[in-house]
Amino acid sequence: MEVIYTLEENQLLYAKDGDEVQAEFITLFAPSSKQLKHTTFLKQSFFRALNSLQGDSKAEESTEQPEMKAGDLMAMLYMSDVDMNVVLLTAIELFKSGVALVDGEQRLTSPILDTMSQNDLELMTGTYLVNFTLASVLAKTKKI
Amino acid sequence: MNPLSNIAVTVNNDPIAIVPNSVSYTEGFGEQNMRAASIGGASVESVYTDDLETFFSMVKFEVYPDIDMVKLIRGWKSSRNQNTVVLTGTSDGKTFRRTFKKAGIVGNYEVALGSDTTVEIEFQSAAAV
Repeated sequence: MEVIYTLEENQLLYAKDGDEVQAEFITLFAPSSKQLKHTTFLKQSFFRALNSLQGDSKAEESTEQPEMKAGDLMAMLYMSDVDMNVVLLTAIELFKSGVALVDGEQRLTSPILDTMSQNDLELMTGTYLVNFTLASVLAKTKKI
Repeated sequence: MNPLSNIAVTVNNDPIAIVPNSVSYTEGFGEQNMRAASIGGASVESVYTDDLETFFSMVKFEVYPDIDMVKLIRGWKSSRNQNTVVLTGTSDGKTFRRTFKKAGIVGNYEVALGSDTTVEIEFQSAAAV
């Protein structure tokens, strides 16, 4: 199973055939047990966020939505007590571990991630959580 | 003022562990000729020309010869001029970046094996941008 994340901002450059080209999308793949350390932390962060927002009507509404969007999920995490620095740094390590390919062909490495906008990093993290890490929780999977 | 001494080297999107202070490059502005043209009366005018044959860049650095690195270097060499080398660094709050496209190892590089040896890698490329 794979999901395509289309980049919002056109600033991600990567080397291809001796040139530097602008990336258009990232292909995301489901995690394996190799990524257990990262995915369990992200999943745990989500439930901690949910717990800290209990009683908040906004959080309840968002978890009840059958089609939770990546942006909604990230907003929910930001509103909680979860340390977003650690969440995003964990997401970076997860993407570098082989579950993301630039334009479907080039492994996402740290030099490429360094040029990715923060907005794209957040939305891509949200997309990954919605489609893979939290798919069973949100009862939502997407095949492309 | 802090000179650029902590440069990160990336080859084909992979960060490379290099020997510190071993990176150098040329901008690719090439060489120019300055010659004299006589206009009589013991006067001359200068004739300035670009030697386009030298409008290439060079980037070189040293690495330690572990098994993974030796394998990587073989890959760069066999990729002919289909490599991309990027140098990045920061100093005084400013960012430095040079990209060397269409880079290839044209020399017959030497792998010295030993406890205190390094391998010098030199790429020739299109002019740096």
